Amino acid sequence: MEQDLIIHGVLLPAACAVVLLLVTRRWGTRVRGVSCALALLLSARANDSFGGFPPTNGWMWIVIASCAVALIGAAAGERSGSRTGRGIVCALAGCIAALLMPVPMWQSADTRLLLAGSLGAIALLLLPVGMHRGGFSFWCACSVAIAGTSAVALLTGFAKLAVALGAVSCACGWIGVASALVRPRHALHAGISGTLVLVAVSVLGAASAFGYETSSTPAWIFVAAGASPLGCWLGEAPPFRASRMASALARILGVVVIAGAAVTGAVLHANRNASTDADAYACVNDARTHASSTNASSLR
Amino acid sequence: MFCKPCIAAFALLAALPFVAATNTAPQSPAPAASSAPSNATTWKIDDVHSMAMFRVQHFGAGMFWGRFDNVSGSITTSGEGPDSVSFDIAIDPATVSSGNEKLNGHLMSPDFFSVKEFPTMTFKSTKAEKGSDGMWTVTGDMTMHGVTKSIVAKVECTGRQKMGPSERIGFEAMFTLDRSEFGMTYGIDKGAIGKSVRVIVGMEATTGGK
Repeated sequence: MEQDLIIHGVLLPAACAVVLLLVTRRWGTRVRGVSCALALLLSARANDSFGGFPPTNGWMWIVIASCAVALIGAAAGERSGSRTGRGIVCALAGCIAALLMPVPMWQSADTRLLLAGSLGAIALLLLPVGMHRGGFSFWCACSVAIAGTSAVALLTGFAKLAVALGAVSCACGWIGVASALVRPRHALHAGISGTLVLVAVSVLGAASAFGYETSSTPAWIFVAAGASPLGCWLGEAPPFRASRMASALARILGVVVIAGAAVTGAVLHANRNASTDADAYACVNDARTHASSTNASSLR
Repeated sequence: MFCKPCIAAFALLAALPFVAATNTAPQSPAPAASSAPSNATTWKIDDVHSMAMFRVQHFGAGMFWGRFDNVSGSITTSGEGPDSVSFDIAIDPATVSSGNEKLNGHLMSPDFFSVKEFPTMTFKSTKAEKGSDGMWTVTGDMTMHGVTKSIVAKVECTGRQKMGPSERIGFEAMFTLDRSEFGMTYGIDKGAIGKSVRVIVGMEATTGGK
């Protein structure tokens, strides 16, 4: 178990952060999304038998969808500076990702449209923050958002997805730390590619967890987990905008509040189920106690 | 906005959903291995009195037991012995029961049976040979978790009884499978949950009604 934590939580994400820092100097922000998708791909590959192509397990398509989104971001690059250009890129990313998700609940045309629209809208809303607010706070906020989605997946009984999302969360954390330590004077923007992938991982991760869950977990928990990166917008609120430090802290706080609400909801739901089991065990224990006392009295 | 290589990349991405769509195509049932003899009796499995149990080693120590409550399908026999048998069994993995609600949820998730993606497990016999001890060695195709593999089961006819207008027959099948061959790998590399799973299926079938 410790070995897994080291591989998925430290070595693999740190390697992806190093790759990002190295390739960024040469190819610019285009490849930042590819680096984040790499963390997801390697972790999911190490965690599950991919079983060739196409993968047998439908959830593994989240990896392919995220890589596809990373490629769209990398191809669009810096040229899609206009609002229309960004809108087209986000819509394209949403449509491709939704089409690539053969996950239960997301296979009909209307649900795919909902998924594409959600992903595209969240990405479009987050792009201005991801493109212009570089450095530690954005990466840290995204790390918290994806960690929240990972925790929700784990609490709803999908450990493999939780580990893969956890690896991306750790990669974001490492990139944030690296950007603060290695290049403190040069903000490491996520760019279009990085922002698209981070949104895709969060939204598709929540959609997958929702699609496979079997314990009737309320839908709002998955919606909050998927949309938690939008908490970054708190840093753009007028009271915090004046100070860079206050803005950075508010950005992280906004995500912590939304992701925290989702995780708290999932914990409460899981404990409600667990309490039912505890009651069942209590009944068994009561029965045993009663039986033993009856036996003891009969022996007397 | 996009350069030529980008357009080519988009074209490639656009083709991917069709691959994804082929991945979701429902699995067609395997063809029956052999035609039934002329004096064959087809029995309908009584899902109330049939179940499948499985056991797997937990943390290299104890044996953990679980069960599936819904076993359905049909059995075809000929003769009183019977002289020949064939099985076409379906198990609903969503009826998995471990005695703990949270554990049931985990067993239904993609870490194990992925019941929303693969809602049925099936076994269709392809060959059955009766041994000198009266036990049958039944070979067949088992489909679980989206993967079909050939397995061999030891099957015993546990009894046969006339009940008014209908007749009942019982079978007990036992086999061991390697779950990693079916793409169910969770917990194997960490040594938390064993790779080898022993399965016992108790079947009661009737010629008419329940």
